[in-house]
Amino acid sequence: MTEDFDTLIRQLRVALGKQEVALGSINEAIVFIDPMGRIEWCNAAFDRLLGRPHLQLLGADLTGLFPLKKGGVAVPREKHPARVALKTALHFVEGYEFESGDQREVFNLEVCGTQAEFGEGNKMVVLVVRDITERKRTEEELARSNQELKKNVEELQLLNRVMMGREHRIVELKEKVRKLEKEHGRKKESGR
Amino acid sequence: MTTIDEMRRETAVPVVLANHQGFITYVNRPFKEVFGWQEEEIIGKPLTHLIPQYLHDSHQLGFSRFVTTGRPTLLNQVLRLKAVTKAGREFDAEHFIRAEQQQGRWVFGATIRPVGQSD
Repeated sequence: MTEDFDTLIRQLRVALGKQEVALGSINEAIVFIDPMGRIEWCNAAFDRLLGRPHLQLLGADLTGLFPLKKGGVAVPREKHPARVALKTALHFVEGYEFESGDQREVFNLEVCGTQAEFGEGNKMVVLVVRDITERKRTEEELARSNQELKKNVEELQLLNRVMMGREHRIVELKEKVRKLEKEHGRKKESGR
Repeated sequence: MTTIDEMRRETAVPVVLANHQGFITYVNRPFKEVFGWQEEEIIGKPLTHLIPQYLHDSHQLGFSRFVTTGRPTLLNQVLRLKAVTKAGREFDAEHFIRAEQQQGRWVFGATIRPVGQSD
Protein backbone atom coordinates (compact mmCIF):
# COMPACT_ATOMS: atom_id res chain seq x y z
CA MET A 1 0.00 0.00 0.00
CA THR A 2 2.78 2.45 0.98
CA GLU A 3 4.69 1.43 -2.15
CA ASP A 4 1.60 2.10 -4.31
CA PHE A 5 1.13 5.43 -2.58
CA ASP A 6 4.76 6.39 -3.22
CA THR A 7 4.43 5.35 -6.87
CA LEU A 8 1.23 7.37 -7.25
CA ILE A 9 2.84 10.46 -5.70
CA ARG A 10 5.90 10.07 -7.94
CA GLN A 11 3.72 9.69 -11.06
CA LEU A 12 1.62 12.73 -10.12
CA ARG A 13 4.76 14.79 -9.43
CA VAL A 14 6.16 13.87 -12.85
CA ALA A 15 2.84 14.66 -14.57
CA LEU A 16 2.57 18.04 -12.81
CA GLY A 17 6.23 18.79 -13.50
CA LYS A 18 5.70 18.13 -17.21
CA GLN A 19 2.63 20.38 -17.23
CA GLU A 20 4.64 23.19 -15.64
CA VAL A 21 7.48 22.82 -18.13
CA ALA A 22 5.06 22.66 -21.09
CA LEU A 23 2.94 25.62 -19.98
CA GLY A 24 6.08 27.58 -19.19
CA SER A 25 7.49 27.13 -22.68
CA ILE A 26 4.56 28.37 -24.76
CA ASN A 27 4.15 31.92 -26.07
CA GLU A 28 0.56 32.37 -24.88
CA ALA A 29 0.24 33.84 -21.39
CA ILE A 30 -1.85 31.72 -19.01
CA VAL A 31 -3.19 32.75 -15.63
CA PHE A 32 -5.35 30.89 -13.07
CA ILE A 33 -7.56 33.02 -10.81
CA ASP A 34 -9.46 32.07 -7.65
CA PRO A 35 -13.07 33.21 -6.93
CA MET A 36 -11.67 36.37 -5.27
CA GLY A 37 -9.86 37.31 -8.49
CA ARG A 38 -6.41 36.53 -7.04
CA ILE A 39 -3.69 35.02 -9.19
CA GLU A 40 -3.20 31.40 -8.18
CA TRP A 41 -0.68 30.55 -10.87
CA CYS A 42 0.66 32.05 -14.09
CA ASN A 43 3.22 30.97 -16.65
CA ALA A 44 6.47 32.61 -17.74
CA ALA A 45 4.79 34.30 -20.75
CA PHE A 46 2.41 36.08 -18.35
CA ASP A 47 5.36 37.24 -16.18
CA ARG A 48 7.01 38.64 -19.34
CA LEU A 49 3.83 40.36 -20.53
CA LEU A 50 3.41 42.14 -17.21
CA GLY A 51 7.15 42.72 -16.84
CA ARG A 52 7.13 41.72 -13.18
CA PRO A 53 8.85 39.01 -11.12
CA HIS A 54 6.75 35.85 -10.79
CA LEU A 55 6.45 36.03 -7.00
CA GLN A 56 5.06 39.57 -7.14
CA LEU A 57 2.15 38.29 -9.21
CA LEU A 58 1.09 35.32 -7.11
CA GLY A 59 -1.82 36.15 -4.81
CA ALA A 60 -2.27 39.62 -6.33
CA ASP A 61 -5.61 40.90 -7.65
CA LEU A 62 -5.52 40.38 -11.41
CA THR A 63 -7.75 43.31 -12.39
CA GLY A 64 -5.41 45.73 -10.60
CA LEU A 65 -2.23 44.30 -12.12
CA PHE A 66 -3.59 43.77 -15.59
CA PRO A 67 -5.65 46.84 -16.58
CA LEU A 68 -7.12 46.55 -20.07
CA LYS A 69 -8.53 48.93 -22.65
CA LYS A 70 -11.00 48.42 -25.46
CA GLY A 71 -10.88 50.85 -28.36
CA GLY A 72 -8.62 53.09 -26.26
CA VAL A 73 -11.13 53.25 -23.37
CA ALA A 74 -10.30 51.68 -19.99
CA VAL A 75 -12.31 48.53 -19.25
CA PRO A 76 -14.13 48.97 -15.90
CA ARG A 77 -13.29 46.44 -13.17
CA GLU A 78 -16.65 44.65 -13.45
CA LYS A 79 -16.17 44.18 -17.20
CA HIS A 80 -12.59 42.92 -16.91
CA PRO A 81 -12.40 39.43 -18.48
CA ALA A 82 -11.35 37.97 -15.10
CA ARG A 83 -14.58 39.27 -13.53
CA VAL A 84 -16.72 38.31 -16.53
CA ALA A 85 -15.32 34.76 -16.49
CA LEU A 86 -15.95 34.47 -12.74
CA LYS A 87 -19.57 35.64 -13.15
CA THR A 88 -20.48 33.60 -16.21
CA ALA A 89 -19.72 30.02 -17.09
CA LEU A 90 -19.42 30.97 -20.77
CA HIS A 91 -16.22 30.49 -22.69
CA PHE A 92 -15.39 33.74 -24.49
CA VAL A 93 -12.74 35.30 -26.70
CA GLU A 94 -12.38 39.10 -26.74
CA GLY A 95 -9.87 41.61 -28.07
CA TYR A 96 -8.27 44.17 -25.71
CA GLU A 97 -5.36 46.57 -25.53
CA PHE A 98 -2.83 46.50 -22.72
CA GLU A 99 -0.29 49.19 -21.98
CA SER A 100 2.86 47.80 -20.43
CA GLY A 101 3.87 50.00 -17.48
CA ASP A 102 7.62 49.55 -17.95
CA GLN A 103 8.03 49.54 -21.70
CA ARG A 104 5.35 52.11 -22.55
CA GLU A 105 4.23 49.82 -25.31
CA VAL A 106 0.65 49.05 -26.31
CA PHE A 107 -0.11 45.39 -26.90
CA ASN A 108 -3.12 44.09 -28.78
CA LEU A 109 -4.34 41.04 -26.94
CA GLU A 110 -6.81 38.28 -27.57
CA VAL A 111 -8.11 37.04 -24.22
CA CYS A 112 -9.91 33.70 -23.86
CA GLY A 113 -11.73 33.12 -20.57
CA THR A 114 -12.95 29.80 -19.19
CA GLN A 115 -14.47 29.00 -15.83
CA ALA A 116 -14.07 25.59 -14.24
CA GLU A 117 -15.47 24.12 -11.04
CA PHE A 118 -13.66 21.39 -9.14
CA GLY A 119 -16.00 20.03 -6.50
CA GLU A 120 -18.04 22.10 -4.08
CA GLY A 121 -17.45 25.82 -4.53
CA ASN A 122 -13.92 25.24 -5.79
CA LYS A 123 -14.33 27.56 -8.74
CA MET A 124 -11.49 28.94 -10.81
CA VAL A 125 -10.96 30.86 -14.00
CA VAL A 126 -8.32 30.33 -16.64
CA LEU A 127 -7.40 33.22 -18.91
CA VAL A 128 -5.30 32.55 -21.98
CA VAL A 129 -3.79 35.71 -23.41
CA ARG A 130 -2.41 35.82 -26.93
CA ASP A 131 -0.31 38.76 -28.08
CA ILE A 132 -1.74 39.67 -31.49
CA THR A 133 0.05 43.02 -31.81
CA GLU A 134 2.09 41.87 -34.82
CA ARG A 135 -0.95 40.30 -36.48
CA LYS A 136 -2.97 43.46 -35.90
CA ARG A 137 -0.17 45.62 -37.35
CA THR A 138 0.05 43.36 -40.40
CA GLU A 139 -3.72 43.50 -40.84
CA GLU A 140 -3.67 47.29 -40.62
CA GLU A 141 -0.80 47.48 -43.12
CA LEU A 142 -2.64 45.12 -45.43
CA ALA A 143 -5.79 47.27 -45.18
CA ARG A 144 -3.70 50.40 -45.93
CA SER A 145 -2.08 48.66 -48.92
CA ASN A 146 -5.50 47.56 -50.17
CA GLN A 147 -6.78 51.10 -49.90
CA GLU A 148 -3.75 52.42 -51.78
CA LEU A 149 -4.10 49.75 -54.44
CA LYS A 150 -7.78 50.64 -54.89
CA LYS A 151 -6.88 54.32 -55.26
CA ASN A 152 -4.16 53.50 -57.82
CA VAL A 153 -6.55 51.33 -59.83
CA GLU A 154 -9.10 54.17 -59.89
CA GLU A 155 -6.43 56.62 -61.09
CA LEU A 156 -5.32 54.16 -63.77
CA GLN A 157 -8.89 53.67 -64.92
CA LEU A 158 -9.31 57.45 -65.18
CA LEU A 159 -6.03 57.78 -67.07
CA ASN A 160 -7.09 54.94 -69.34
CA ARG A 161 -10.34 56.75 -70.13
CA VAL A 162 -8.39 59.96 -70.90
CA MET A 163 -5.88 58.09 -73.05
CA MET A 164 -8.64 56.30 -74.93
CA GLY A 165 -10.31 59.67 -75.59
CA ARG A 166 -7.02 61.07 -76.87
CA GLU A 167 -6.40 58.04 -79.04
CA HIS A 168 -9.82 58.50 -80.56
CA ARG A 169 -9.04 62.17 -81.22
CA ILE A 170 -5.68 61.22 -82.81
CA VAL A 171 -7.48 58.80 -85.16
CA GLU A 172 -9.91 61.58 -86.09
CA LEU A 173 -7.07 64.03 -86.69
CA LYS A 174 -5.13 61.47 -88.75
CA GLU A 175 -8.22 60.93 -90.89
CA LYS A 176 -8.57 64.68 -91.33
CA VAL A 177 -4.90 65.01 -92.32
CA ARG A 178 -5.28 62.14 -94.78
CA LYS A 179 -8.33 63.85 -96.36
CA LEU A 180 -6.52 67.21 -96.57
CA GLU A 181 -3.49 65.55 -98.14
CA LYS A 182 -5.72 63.83 -100.65
CA GLU A 183 -7.48 67.12 -101.47
CA HIS A 184 -4.17 68.94 -101.70
CA GLY A 185 -2.92 66.24 -104.12
CA ARG A 186 -5.97 66.61 -106.32
CA LYS A 187 -5.62 70.45 -106.46
CA LYS A 188 -1.95 70.05 -107.34
CA GLU A 189 -2.87 67.67 -110.19
CA SER A 190 -5.53 70.03 -111.66
CA GLY A 191 -3.19 73.05 -111.43
CA ARG A 192 -0.65 71.48 -113.78
CA MET B 1 25.16 29.30 2.64
CA THR B 2 22.90 27.57 5.17
CA THR B 3 22.82 23.80 4.75
CA ILE B 4 19.94 21.56 5.78
CA ASP B 5 22.05 20.22 8.67
CA GLU B 6 22.60 23.81 9.82
CA MET B 7 18.85 24.45 9.52
CA ARG B 8 18.22 21.42 11.73
CA ARG B 9 20.44 23.01 14.41
CA GLU B 10 18.73 26.44 14.14
CA THR B 11 17.04 27.51 17.38
CA ALA B 12 16.05 31.15 16.82
CA VAL B 13 14.20 31.13 13.47
CA PRO B 14 11.33 28.82 12.43
CA VAL B 15 12.57 25.90 10.35
CA VAL B 16 10.68 23.23 8.45
CA LEU B 17 12.12 20.26 6.57
CA ALA B 18 10.28 18.16 3.98
CA ASN B 19 10.96 15.06 1.92
CA HIS B 20 10.97 14.61 -1.87
CA GLN B 21 7.20 14.09 -1.87
CA GLY B 22 6.49 17.38 -0.11
CA PHE B 23 5.64 15.93 3.31
CA ILE B 24 6.91 17.64 6.45
CA THR B 25 9.59 15.63 8.28
CA TYR B 26 10.88 18.08 10.89
CA VAL B 27 9.97 21.36 12.56
CA ASN B 28 11.86 23.22 15.33
CA ARG B 29 10.60 24.97 18.44
CA PRO B 30 10.30 28.51 16.94
CA PHE B 31 8.25 26.98 14.12
CA LYS B 32 5.77 25.54 16.64
CA GLU B 33 5.55 28.92 18.40
CA VAL B 34 4.92 30.91 15.22
CA PHE B 35 2.67 28.45 13.37
CA GLY B 36 0.78 27.02 16.35
CA TRP B 37 1.23 23.39 15.26
CA GLN B 38 2.49 20.69 17.61
CA GLU B 39 5.12 18.36 16.21
CA GLU B 40 2.85 15.29 16.27
CA GLU B 41 0.13 17.23 14.39
CA ILE B 42 2.26 18.52 11.53
CA ILE B 43 4.90 15.83 10.88
CA GLY B 44 3.81 13.78 7.86
CA LYS B 45 1.46 16.49 6.61
CA PRO B 46 1.89 18.15 3.18
CA LEU B 47 3.71 21.49 3.02
CA THR B 48 0.46 23.06 1.76
CA HIS B 49 -0.61 23.22 5.44
CA LEU B 50 1.77 26.19 5.72
CA ILE B 51 0.75 27.90 2.45
CA PRO B 52 -2.41 29.96 1.78
CA GLN B 53 -5.01 28.06 -0.26
CA TYR B 54 -4.73 30.38 -3.27
CA LEU B 55 -1.03 29.51 -3.64
CA HIS B 56 -1.43 25.72 -3.47
CA ASP B 57 -1.49 25.21 -7.27
CA SER B 58 1.58 27.34 -7.72
CA HIS B 59 3.43 25.44 -4.98
CA GLN B 60 2.45 22.00 -6.33
CA LEU B 61 3.38 22.87 -9.92
CA GLY B 62 6.68 24.49 -8.98
CA PHE B 63 7.63 21.74 -6.50
CA SER B 64 6.79 19.05 -9.07
CA ARG B 65 8.78 20.79 -11.78
CA PHE B 66 11.82 20.94 -9.51
CA VAL B 67 11.70 17.30 -8.36
CA THR B 68 11.12 16.23 -11.99
CA THR B 69 13.74 18.37 -13.72
CA GLY B 70 16.12 19.36 -10.89
CA ARG B 71 16.09 22.93 -12.24
CA PRO B 72 15.46 25.42 -9.43
CA THR B 73 13.96 28.89 -9.78
CA LEU B 74 13.35 29.88 -6.16
CA LEU B 75 16.00 28.08 -4.15
CA ASN B 76 18.94 29.57 -2.24
CA GLN B 77 17.63 33.13 -2.15
CA VAL B 78 15.55 35.15 0.27
CA LEU B 79 11.92 35.24 -0.87
CA ARG B 80 9.13 37.26 0.62
CA LEU B 81 6.10 34.96 0.64
CA LYS B 82 2.87 34.47 2.56
CA ALA B 83 2.59 31.71 5.13
CA VAL B 84 -0.40 30.53 7.12
CA THR B 85 -0.70 29.42 10.75
CA LYS B 86 -2.75 26.54 12.15
CA ALA B 87 -5.44 29.11 13.03
CA GLY B 88 -5.55 30.25 9.39
CA ARG B 89 -3.83 33.59 9.95
CA GLU B 90 -1.77 34.72 6.98
CA PHE B 91 1.48 36.53 7.50
CA ASP B 92 4.40 37.78 5.44
CA ALA B 93 7.67 35.98 5.95
CA GLU B 94 11.13 35.85 4.50
CA HIS B 95 11.69 32.33 3.24
CA PHE B 96 15.06 30.82 2.46
CA ILE B 97 14.56 27.46 0.79
CA ARG B 98 17.26 24.92 0.14
CA ALA B 99 17.23 21.51 -1.52
CA GLU B 100 19.85 18.80 -1.13
CA GLN B 101 20.19 15.29 -2.47
CA GLN B 102 20.37 12.78 0.38
CA GLN B 103 20.65 9.10 -0.52
CA GLY B 104 19.47 9.84 -4.05
CA ARG B 105 16.40 11.78 -3.00
CA TRP B 106 15.68 15.48 -2.65
CA VAL B 107 15.32 16.86 0.86
CA PHE B 108 14.01 20.38 1.38
CA GLY B 109 14.62 22.82 4.18
CA ALA B 110 13.30 26.32 4.77
CA THR B 111 13.79 29.05 7.30
CA ILE B 112 10.63 31.15 7.64
CA ARG B 113 11.26 34.50 9.29
CA PRO B 114 8.04 36.49 9.96
CA VAL B 115 8.31 40.12 8.85
CA GLY B 116 4.99 41.54 9.96
CA GLN B 117 1.31 40.86 10.09
CA SER B 118 -0.90 40.91 7.01
CA ASP B 119 -4.64 41.41 6.90
